[in-house]
Amino acid sequence: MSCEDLSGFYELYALGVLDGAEYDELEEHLNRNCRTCMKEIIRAVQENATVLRSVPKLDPPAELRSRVLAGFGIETRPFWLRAAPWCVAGAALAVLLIGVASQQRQKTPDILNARAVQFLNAPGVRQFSFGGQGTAPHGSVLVSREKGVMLIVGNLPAAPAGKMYETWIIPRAGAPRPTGKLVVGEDGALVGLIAGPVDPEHIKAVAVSLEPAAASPVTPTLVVFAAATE
Amino acid sequence: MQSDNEEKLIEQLKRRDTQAMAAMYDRFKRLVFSVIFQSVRDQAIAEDLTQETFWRVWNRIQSFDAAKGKLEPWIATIARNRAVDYLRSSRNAPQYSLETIEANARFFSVESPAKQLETERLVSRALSSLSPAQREVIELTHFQGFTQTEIAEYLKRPLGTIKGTIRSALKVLRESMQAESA
Repeated sequence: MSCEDLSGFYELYALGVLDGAEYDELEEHLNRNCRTCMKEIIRAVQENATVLRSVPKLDPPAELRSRVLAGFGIETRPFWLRAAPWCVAGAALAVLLIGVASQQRQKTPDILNARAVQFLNAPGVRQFSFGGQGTAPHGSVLVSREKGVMLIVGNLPAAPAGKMYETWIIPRAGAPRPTGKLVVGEDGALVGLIAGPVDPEHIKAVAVSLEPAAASPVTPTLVVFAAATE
Repeated sequence: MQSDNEEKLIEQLKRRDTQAMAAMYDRFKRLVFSVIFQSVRDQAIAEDLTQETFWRVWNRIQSFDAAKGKLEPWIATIARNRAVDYLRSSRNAPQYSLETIEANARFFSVESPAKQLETERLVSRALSSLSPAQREVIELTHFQGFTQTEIAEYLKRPLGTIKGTIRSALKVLRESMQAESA
Protein backbone atom coordinates (compact mmCIF):
# COMPACT_ATOMS: atom_id res chain seq x y z
CA MET A 1 0.00 0.00 0.00
CA SER A 2 1.12 3.53 -0.66
CA CYS A 3 0.97 6.32 1.92
CA GLU A 4 -2.11 7.56 0.09
CA ASP A 5 -3.74 4.17 0.52
CA LEU A 6 -3.06 4.43 4.24
CA SER A 7 -4.39 7.95 4.54
CA GLY A 8 -7.67 6.82 6.06
CA PHE A 9 -6.04 4.86 8.82
CA TYR A 10 -3.67 7.21 10.62
CA GLU A 11 -6.33 8.35 13.07
CA LEU A 12 -7.19 4.77 13.98
CA TYR A 13 -3.53 3.91 14.48
CA ALA A 14 -3.10 6.96 16.69
CA LEU A 15 -6.13 5.90 18.72
CA GLY A 16 -4.66 2.44 19.21
CA VAL A 17 -7.57 0.78 17.37
CA LEU A 18 -6.13 -0.08 13.96
CA ASP A 19 -5.86 -3.78 13.24
CA GLY A 20 -5.63 -6.19 10.34
CA ALA A 21 -3.74 -5.72 7.11
CA GLU A 22 -3.75 -1.93 7.38
CA TYR A 23 -1.98 -2.13 10.72
CA ASP A 24 0.67 -4.40 9.21
CA GLU A 25 1.11 -2.12 6.22
CA LEU A 26 1.45 0.99 8.34
CA GLU A 27 3.93 -0.78 10.57
CA GLU A 28 5.95 -1.63 7.49
CA HIS A 29 6.02 2.02 6.43
CA LEU A 30 7.14 3.07 9.89
CA ASN A 31 9.79 0.39 9.93
CA ARG A 32 11.33 1.96 6.89
CA ASN A 33 11.15 5.43 8.44
CA CYS A 34 8.46 6.70 6.10
CA ARG A 35 8.42 10.39 6.93
CA THR A 36 4.99 10.91 5.43
CA CYS A 37 3.44 8.31 7.70
CA MET A 38 5.31 9.57 10.75
CA LYS A 39 4.10 13.11 10.20
CA GLU A 40 0.59 11.93 9.50
CA ILE A 41 0.45 9.99 12.75
CA ILE A 42 1.38 13.06 14.76
CA ARG A 43 -1.25 15.06 12.88
CA ALA A 44 -3.79 12.34 13.56
CA VAL A 45 -3.07 12.37 17.30
CA GLN A 46 -3.74 16.07 17.34
CA GLU A 47 -6.93 15.82 15.35
CA ASN A 48 -8.20 13.01 17.52
CA ALA A 49 -7.75 15.24 20.57
CA THR A 50 -9.78 17.97 18.89
CA VAL A 51 -12.63 15.53 18.34
CA LEU A 52 -12.49 14.60 22.02
CA ARG A 53 -12.64 18.24 23.05
CA SER A 54 -15.71 18.84 20.94
CA VAL A 55 -18.00 16.60 23.00
CA PRO A 56 -21.05 18.23 24.57
CA LYS A 57 -19.97 19.55 27.94
CA LEU A 58 -21.56 18.25 31.12
CA ASP A 59 -21.04 19.45 34.67
CA PRO A 60 -19.96 16.75 37.09
CA PRO A 61 -21.88 16.60 40.38
CA ALA A 62 -20.69 19.18 42.89
CA GLU A 63 -19.74 16.57 45.47
CA LEU A 64 -17.19 15.03 43.10
CA ARG A 65 -14.90 17.99 43.71
CA SER A 66 -14.35 17.14 47.36
CA ARG A 67 -13.93 13.48 46.48
CA VAL A 68 -11.26 14.20 43.89
CA LEU A 69 -9.42 16.75 45.98
CA ALA A 70 -9.52 14.49 49.01
CA GLY A 71 -7.24 12.24 47.02
CA PHE A 72 -4.62 14.96 47.18
CA GLY A 73 -5.04 15.52 50.89
CA ILE A 74 -6.67 18.87 50.40
CA GLU A 75 -9.84 18.24 52.31
CA THR A 76 -9.60 14.74 53.74
CA ARG A 77 -6.96 12.10 53.98
CA PRO A 78 -6.44 10.37 50.63
CA PHE A 79 -8.39 7.17 50.70
CA TRP A 80 -7.77 5.81 47.24
CA LEU A 81 -4.14 6.79 46.93
CA ARG A 82 -3.05 3.32 47.92
CA ALA A 83 -5.61 1.72 45.66
CA ALA A 84 -4.24 3.06 42.43
CA PRO A 85 -0.61 1.99 42.11
CA TRP A 86 -1.18 1.32 38.41
CA CYS A 87 -1.52 5.04 37.87
CA VAL A 88 2.03 5.55 39.08
CA ALA A 89 3.37 2.68 37.00
CA GLY A 90 1.64 3.89 33.88
CA ALA A 91 2.94 7.41 34.07
CA ALA A 92 6.52 6.84 33.07
CA LEU A 93 6.61 6.96 29.31
CA ALA A 94 4.35 9.93 28.75
CA VAL A 95 6.41 11.92 31.22
CA LEU A 96 9.60 10.71 29.62
CA LEU A 97 8.62 11.53 26.08
CA ILE A 98 7.57 14.99 27.10
CA GLY A 99 10.88 15.42 28.90
CA VAL A 100 12.92 14.18 25.99
CA ALA A 101 11.06 16.33 23.52
CA SER A 102 11.60 19.36 25.68
CA GLN A 103 15.31 18.80 25.26
CA GLN A 104 14.82 18.71 21.52
CA ARG A 105 12.68 21.79 21.22
CA GLN A 106 14.44 23.03 18.14
CA LYS A 107 14.17 19.70 16.38
CA THR A 108 11.27 17.86 14.87
CA PRO A 109 9.82 15.30 17.27
CA ASP A 110 7.98 13.40 14.57
CA ILE A 111 10.29 10.46 14.13
CA LEU A 112 10.98 10.07 17.82
CA ASN A 113 7.31 9.99 18.61
CA ALA A 114 6.16 8.01 15.63
CA ARG A 115 8.72 5.33 16.39
CA ALA A 116 7.60 5.23 19.98
CA VAL A 117 3.95 5.03 18.90
CA GLN A 118 4.86 2.12 16.67
CA PHE A 119 6.88 0.41 19.35
CA LEU A 120 4.18 0.86 21.94
CA ASN A 121 1.59 -0.62 19.64
CA ALA A 122 3.46 -3.90 19.87
CA PRO A 123 1.70 -6.34 22.17
CA GLY A 124 3.11 -6.71 25.67
CA VAL A 125 5.67 -3.92 25.48
CA ARG A 126 7.15 -3.02 28.87
CA GLN A 127 8.63 0.33 29.77
CA PHE A 128 11.24 1.25 32.34
CA SER A 129 12.18 4.81 33.26
CA PHE A 130 15.53 5.94 34.48
CA GLY A 131 17.15 9.13 35.67
CA GLY A 132 15.28 12.14 36.88
CA GLN A 133 14.92 15.79 36.21
CA GLY A 134 17.71 18.31 36.11
CA THR A 135 20.86 17.83 34.11
CA ALA A 136 21.30 14.07 34.44
CA PRO A 137 20.41 11.87 31.47
CA HIS A 138 16.92 10.54 31.77
CA GLY A 139 14.66 8.51 29.60
CA SER A 140 13.02 5.19 29.10
CA VAL A 141 13.77 1.70 27.90
CA LEU A 142 11.02 -0.08 25.98
CA VAL A 143 11.23 -3.84 25.87
CA SER A 144 9.08 -5.88 23.52
CA ARG A 145 9.42 -9.60 23.09
CA GLU A 146 8.41 -9.13 19.45
CA LYS A 147 10.11 -5.87 18.48
CA GLY A 148 13.22 -5.85 20.65
CA VAL A 149 14.59 -3.09 22.81
CA MET A 150 14.37 0.65 22.27
CA LEU A 151 16.20 3.27 24.30
CA ILE A 152 15.00 6.86 24.40
CA VAL A 153 17.23 9.27 26.25
CA GLY A 154 17.29 12.99 26.87
CA ASN A 155 19.79 15.31 28.55
CA LEU A 156 22.69 13.51 26.98
CA PRO A 157 25.41 16.00 26.04
CA ALA A 158 27.28 15.65 22.78
CA ALA A 159 30.13 13.17 23.06
CA PRO A 160 33.58 14.78 23.37
CA ALA A 161 35.78 14.85 20.29
CA GLY A 162 37.09 11.42 19.45
CA LYS A 163 34.49 9.68 21.63
CA MET A 164 31.14 8.05 20.97
CA TYR A 165 28.36 6.70 23.07
CA GLU A 166 28.04 2.93 23.03
CA THR A 167 24.95 1.04 24.15
CA TRP A 168 25.09 -2.18 26.11
CA ILE A 169 22.73 -4.93 27.09
CA ILE A 170 23.43 -6.15 30.60
CA PRO A 171 22.16 -9.74 30.77
CA ARG A 172 21.08 -11.44 33.95
CA ALA A 173 23.95 -13.82 33.50
CA GLY A 174 27.18 -13.22 31.65
CA ALA A 175 29.13 -10.21 30.47
CA PRO A 176 27.71 -6.92 29.12
CA ARG A 177 27.12 -7.07 25.38
CA PRO A 178 27.80 -4.03 23.14
CA THR A 179 24.84 -3.36 20.87
CA GLY A 180 25.82 -0.37 18.82
CA LYS A 181 26.56 3.31 18.80
CA LEU A 182 23.93 5.62 20.27
CA VAL A 183 22.49 7.68 17.49
CA VAL A 184 21.87 11.26 18.56
CA GLY A 185 20.36 12.74 15.47
CA GLU A 186 18.18 15.57 14.35
CA ASP A 187 15.15 13.71 15.54
CA GLY A 188 16.34 13.18 19.06
CA ALA A 189 18.38 10.66 20.94
CA LEU A 190 16.93 7.37 19.92
CA VAL A 191 18.31 3.97 19.15
CA GLY A 192 16.88 0.54 18.49
CA LEU A 193 19.26 -1.62 20.43
CA ILE A 194 18.11 -5.01 19.31
CA ALA A 195 15.67 -6.02 16.63
CA GLY A 196 13.33 -8.58 18.12
CA PRO A 197 12.46 -11.10 19.11
CA VAL A 198 14.15 -10.93 22.50
CA ASP A 199 13.54 -12.59 25.83
CA PRO A 200 12.86 -9.74 28.28
CA GLU A 201 13.46 -12.07 31.20
CA HIS A 202 17.11 -12.38 30.25
CA ILE A 203 17.80 -8.63 30.19
CA LYS A 204 18.77 -7.01 33.47
CA ALA A 205 19.61 -3.50 32.27
CA VAL A 206 20.57 -1.30 29.36
CA ALA A 207 23.63 0.92 29.74
CA VAL A 208 25.38 3.67 27.81
CA SER A 209 29.12 4.21 27.99
CA LEU A 210 31.58 6.66 26.49
CA GLU A 211 34.09 4.95 24.23
CA PRO A 212 36.88 5.91 21.85
CA ALA A 213 35.22 6.50 18.49
CA ALA A 214 37.58 4.27 16.57
CA ALA A 215 37.41 1.30 18.91
CA SER A 216 35.06 -1.65 19.11
CA PRO A 217 34.71 -2.07 22.86
CA VAL A 218 34.49 -5.43 24.55
CA THR A 219 33.76 -4.05 28.01
CA PRO A 220 32.38 -0.62 28.92
CA THR A 221 35.10 2.01 29.47
CA LEU A 222 33.12 4.77 31.18
CA VAL A 223 29.49 4.02 32.00
CA VAL A 224 27.38 7.18 31.67
CA PHE A 225 24.19 5.60 32.96
CA ALA A 226 22.46 2.27 33.29
CA ALA A 227 18.72 1.69 33.19
CA ALA A 228 17.34 -1.35 34.96
CA THR A 229 14.69 -3.37 33.14
CA GLU A 230 13.35 -5.38 36.04
CA MET B 1 -5.58 29.14 45.57
CA GLN B 2 -6.24 30.24 42.01
CA SER B 3 -3.67 30.17 39.22
CA ASP B 4 -3.79 33.16 36.91
CA ASN B 5 -2.56 31.30 33.91
CA GLU B 6 -1.83 27.83 32.68
CA GLU B 7 1.92 28.14 32.87
CA LYS B 8 1.78 29.18 36.50
CA LEU B 9 -0.59 26.33 37.24
CA ILE B 10 1.79 23.83 35.66
CA GLU B 11 4.70 25.20 37.68
CA GLN B 12 2.71 24.87 40.88
CA LEU B 13 1.81 21.31 40.07
CA LYS B 14 5.41 20.50 39.24
CA ARG B 15 6.37 21.75 42.67
CA ARG B 16 3.91 19.15 43.94
CA ASP B 17 1.67 21.85 45.32
CA THR B 18 -1.45 19.83 45.98
CA GLN B 19 -3.49 23.00 46.40
CA ALA B 20 -2.97 23.66 42.70
CA MET B 21 -5.01 20.56 41.99
CA ALA B 22 -8.07 22.48 43.11
CA ALA B 23 -7.46 25.01 40.36
CA MET B 24 -6.70 22.22 37.91
CA TYR B 25 -9.92 20.44 38.82
CA ASP B 26 -12.02 23.58 38.53
CA ARG B 27 -10.55 24.38 35.13
CA PHE B 28 -10.85 20.96 33.53
CA LYS B 29 -13.58 19.12 35.43
CA ARG B 30 -16.21 19.64 32.70
CA LEU B 31 -13.91 18.51 29.93
CA VAL B 32 -12.73 15.40 31.77
CA PHE B 33 -16.15 14.38 32.99
CA SER B 34 -17.74 15.04 29.59
CA VAL B 35 -15.19 13.02 27.61
CA ILE B 36 -15.46 10.13 30.03
CA PHE B 37 -19.23 10.24 30.22
CA GLN B 38 -19.39 10.25 26.43
CA SER B 39 -17.53 6.94 26.57
CA VAL B 40 -19.01 5.10 29.52
CA ARG B 41 -22.54 6.62 29.70
CA ASP B 42 -22.77 5.89 33.39
CA GLN B 43 -22.55 8.68 35.92
CA ALA B 44 -21.08 6.69 38.81
CA ILE B 45 -18.41 5.14 36.62
CA ALA B 46 -17.69 8.50 35.01
CA GLU B 47 -17.14 9.99 38.45
CA ASP B 48 -14.71 7.24 39.42
CA LEU B 49 -12.80 7.59 36.17
CA THR B 50 -12.74 11.38 36.48
CA GLN B 51 -11.10 10.95 39.85
CA GLU B 52 -8.55 8.56 38.39
CA THR B 53 -7.88 10.88 35.45
CA PHE B 54 -6.90 13.75 37.72
CA TRP B 55 -4.60 11.43 39.55
CA ARG B 56 -2.97 10.46 36.27
CA VAL B 57 -2.55 14.11 35.39
CA TRP B 58 -0.88 14.72 38.74
CA ASN B 59 1.52 11.84 38.14
CA ARG B 60 2.40 12.94 34.62
CA ILE B 61 2.63 16.68 34.98
CA GLN B 62 6.26 16.71 36.05
CA SER B 63 7.76 17.03 32.61
CA PHE B 64 4.92 18.77 30.82
CA ASP B 65 6.37 21.56 28.73
CA ALA B 66 4.05 24.55 28.76
CA ALA B 67 5.89 26.08 25.81
CA LYS B 68 5.21 23.03 23.72
CA GLY B 69 1.50 22.58 24.03
CA LYS B 70 -1.66 23.14 25.96
CA LEU B 71 -3.02 21.16 28.85
CA GLU B 72 -6.51 20.78 27.46
CA PRO B 73 -5.90 18.33 24.58
CA TRP B 74 -3.47 16.37 26.69
CA ILE B 75 -5.94 16.04 29.54
CA ALA B 76 -8.77 15.18 27.13
CA THR B 77 -6.63 12.39 25.72
CA ILE B 78 -5.80 11.06 29.16
CA ALA B 79 -9.50 11.08 30.06
CA ARG B 80 -10.43 9.24 26.84
CA ASN B 81 -7.75 6.64 27.38
CA ARG B 82 -8.80 6.01 30.95
CA ALA B 83 -12.36 5.47 29.78
CA VAL B 84 -11.27 3.20 26.93
CA ASP B 85 -9.06 1.20 29.30
CA TYR B 86 -12.11 0.67 31.48
CA LEU B 87 -14.40 -0.28 28.59
CA ARG B 88 -11.89 -2.67 27.08
CA SER B 89 -11.34 -4.43 30.36
CA SER B 90 -15.11 -4.61 30.86
CA ARG B 91 -15.64 -6.36 27.55
CA ASN B 92 -12.44 -8.43 27.75
CA ALA B 93 -11.09 -6.74 24.65
CA PRO B 94 -7.36 -6.79 23.93
CA GLN B 95 -5.50 -4.14 25.86
CA TYR B 96 -3.35 -1.69 23.96
CA SER B 97 -0.87 0.78 25.27
CA LEU B 98 -2.29 4.27 25.03
CA GLU B 99 0.55 6.08 26.73
CA THR B 100 2.10 7.63 23.66
CA ILE B 101 -1.19 8.94 22.48
CA GLU B 102 -1.21 11.02 25.63
CA ALA B 103 2.41 11.98 25.21
CA ASN B 104 1.83 13.09 21.66
CA ALA B 105 -1.22 15.12 22.54
CA ARG B 106 1.08 17.82 23.91
CA PHE B 107 2.15 18.67 20.35
CA PHE B 108 -0.90 20.74 19.75
CA SER B 109 0.05 24.14 18.52
CA VAL B 110 -0.51 26.74 21.16
CA GLU B 111 -3.47 28.35 19.52
CA SER B 112 -5.52 31.18 20.89
CA PRO B 113 -8.65 30.36 22.89
CA ALA B 114 -10.73 31.99 20.17
CA LYS B 115 -9.20 29.86 17.43
CA GLN B 116 -9.47 26.78 19.61
CA LEU B 117 -13.16 27.42 20.13
CA GLU B 118 -13.61 27.96 16.42
CA THR B 119 -11.89 24.66 15.64
CA GLU B 120 -14.07 22.84 18.13
CA ARG B 121 -17.14 24.49 16.69
CA LEU B 122 -16.20 23.35 13.20
CA VAL B 123 -15.53 19.83 14.41
CA SER B 124 -18.86 19.78 16.23
CA ARG B 125 -20.53 20.91 13.06
CA ALA B 126 -18.68 18.27 11.05
CA LEU B 127 -19.73 15.61 13.55
CA SER B 128 -23.32 16.74 13.21
CA SER B 129 -23.08 16.50 9.45
CA LEU B 130 -22.05 12.85 9.57
CA SER B 131 -24.58 10.21 8.66
CA PRO B 132 -25.88 8.06 11.56
CA ALA B 133 -23.64 5.21 10.41
CA GLN B 134 -20.59 7.47 10.26
CA ARG B 135 -21.29 8.94 13.70
CA GLU B 136 -21.70 5.45 15.08
CA VAL B 137 -18.26 4.31 13.94
CA ILE B 138 -16.60 7.50 15.20
CA GLU B 139 -18.26 6.93 18.55
CA LEU B 140 -17.02 3.35 18.61
CA THR B 141 -13.43 4.14 17.61
CA HIS B 142 -12.82 7.41 19.42
CA PHE B 143 -14.87 6.90 22.57
CA GLN B 144 -15.34 3.15 22.94
CA GLY B 145 -11.94 1.95 21.73
CA PHE B 146 -13.28 -0.56 19.18
CA THR B 147 -11.07 -1.77 16.34
CA GLN B 148 -12.47 -2.08 12.82
CA THR B 149 -12.84 -5.83 13.26
CA GLU B 150 -14.59 -5.42 16.59
CA ILE B 151 -16.99 -2.91 15.08
CA ALA B 152 -17.84 -5.27 12.23
CA GLU B 153 -18.55 -8.04 14.72
CA TYR B 154 -20.47 -5.78 17.07
CA LEU B 155 -22.64 -4.24 14.34
CA LYS B 156 -22.84 -7.49 12.35
CA ARG B 157 -21.82 -5.73 9.16
CA PRO B 158 -19.16 -6.66 6.62
CA LEU B 159 -15.69 -5.49 7.56
CA GLY B 160 -15.29 -3.80 4.19
CA THR B 161 -18.41 -1.75 4.79
CA ILE B 162 -17.16 -0.69 8.20
CA LYS B 163 -13.79 0.31 6.79
CA GLY B 164 -15.47 2.42 4.12
CA THR B 165 -17.71 4.11 6.66
CA ILE B 166 -14.82 4.90 8.98
CA ARG B 167 -12.74 6.22 6.13
CA SER B 168 -15.44 8.55 4.88
CA ALA B 169 -16.24 9.79 8.40
CA LEU B 170 -12.61 10.55 9.16
CA LYS B 171 -12.27 12.37 5.86
CA VAL B 172 -15.11 14.70 6.82
CA LEU B 173 -13.54 15.42 10.21
CA ARG B 174 -10.07 15.85 8.76
CA GLU B 175 -11.26 18.29 6.17
CA SER B 176 -13.12 20.35 8.74
CA MET B 177 -9.97 20.75 10.81
CA GLN B 178 -7.70 21.37 7.86
CA ALA B 179 -10.06 24.01 6.57
CA GLU B 180 -9.70 25.81 9.88
CA SER B 181 -5.92 25.63 9.94
CA ALA B 182 -5.57 26.66 6.28
